[in-house]
Amino acid sequence: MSEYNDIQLVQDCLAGKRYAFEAIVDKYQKTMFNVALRMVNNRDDAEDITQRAFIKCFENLDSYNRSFKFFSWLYRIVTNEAINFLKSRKILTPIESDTESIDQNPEELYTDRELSDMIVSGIAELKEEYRSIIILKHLEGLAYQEIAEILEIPVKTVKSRLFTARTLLRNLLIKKGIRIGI
Amino acid sequence: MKTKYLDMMNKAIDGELTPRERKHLDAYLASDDEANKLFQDLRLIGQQLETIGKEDPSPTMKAGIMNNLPHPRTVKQISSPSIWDSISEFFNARPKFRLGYAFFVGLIAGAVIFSIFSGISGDSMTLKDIQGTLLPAKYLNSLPEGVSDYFAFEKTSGELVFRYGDGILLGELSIRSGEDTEIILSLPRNLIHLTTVSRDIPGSLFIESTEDEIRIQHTGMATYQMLFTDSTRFEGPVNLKIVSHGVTLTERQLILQR
Repeated sequence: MSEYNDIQLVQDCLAGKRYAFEAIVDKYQKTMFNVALRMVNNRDDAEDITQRAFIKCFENLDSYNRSFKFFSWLYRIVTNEAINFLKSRKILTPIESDTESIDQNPEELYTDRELSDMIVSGIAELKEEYRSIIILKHLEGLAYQEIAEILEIPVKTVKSRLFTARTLLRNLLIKKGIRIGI
Repeated sequence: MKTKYLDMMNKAIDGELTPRERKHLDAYLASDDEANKLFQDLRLIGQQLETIGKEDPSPTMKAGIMNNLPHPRTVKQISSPSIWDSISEFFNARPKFRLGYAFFVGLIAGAVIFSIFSGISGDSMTLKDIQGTLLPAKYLNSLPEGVSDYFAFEKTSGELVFRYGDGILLGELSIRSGEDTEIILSLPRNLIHLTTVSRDIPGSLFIESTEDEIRIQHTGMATYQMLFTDSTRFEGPVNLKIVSHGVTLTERQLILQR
């Protein structure tokens, strides 16, 4: 992801060159779709959110501050759009960060695939700040430093949030009676 | 549990642990069953997270974005100072040359009157003025070398070539036209997006986009650079009509073909 190219494309868009926006869509549509998908856990809704986010991005290109990464700006538009969607459907029920009331009697052993599916749906239940960390780290494969730049938080916070996010996922699985390890 | 061990667990899961830290962590985990269980669980979750692949959006998602971008009727209005403005500015900045300025104005007025009475028209556009050029290389770098997959307009006059690269059709049409000329391009707007970049336009340029037409009007001689994009590999006719002073100079159907 070259920031220079992004800025060049934004400049071209602002100069009225529509094909430059098409290039931006080509470059980021898959990533942003997956961000939305992991937030709402539904392909159709994720596509709607991604489309609306890109249109919003186009409409507000002139307000984009070039001192920030374009990816970061676009990412926030997508996540905000997803959060608004979840709020409108009243399905924003993030799990809390406390570890009380955890069912400590897991009974079922799931296959890797089932466990993976459980984790995917668990991501959608995390608070946004933890969900973002998981998406950027594990789906985008970004380094701590890159995540810190995108979310504009210190690397130390990235690490601590990542730890909390994974722990929350673990607790969620345990709460659902899923045995994680052997 | 000490923070440094939590940090080490994180690093271990993300493969960023040094051998020295690994030794410390192993020793700690061997001494604390609860911490060891937590670490094993988190590591497994980390491994499972890595297996989650990215999904492809449906092929229609991009079209849904591009077709729903705001497309105001007036896309762009560009005005730049004319040569006349520059000359006026030159003389205004130099008061002692004002007599010269008056002489210059008189000379121009005389030339205009002469041209009217001698039948010389400002409109000098002919079909040979329509010509296409390839886009700058930076927009074509996604076209693999040797790939002959390109779009081309049926040649009307001059060269007009459209190229297709990586899902984006990029074409450029340059038209040098006469004064007060209106160029009407009828094209399926849902499939082709036209962006116009003006170059060397001393007068004004006015672009209006309707459901199925893009009208371009200008004053003064102009060279247009029109860039087309297409996300759907469209084949079909594009009607080009050039009107000057209300009279149709030419009306041609350009065939977009692969």
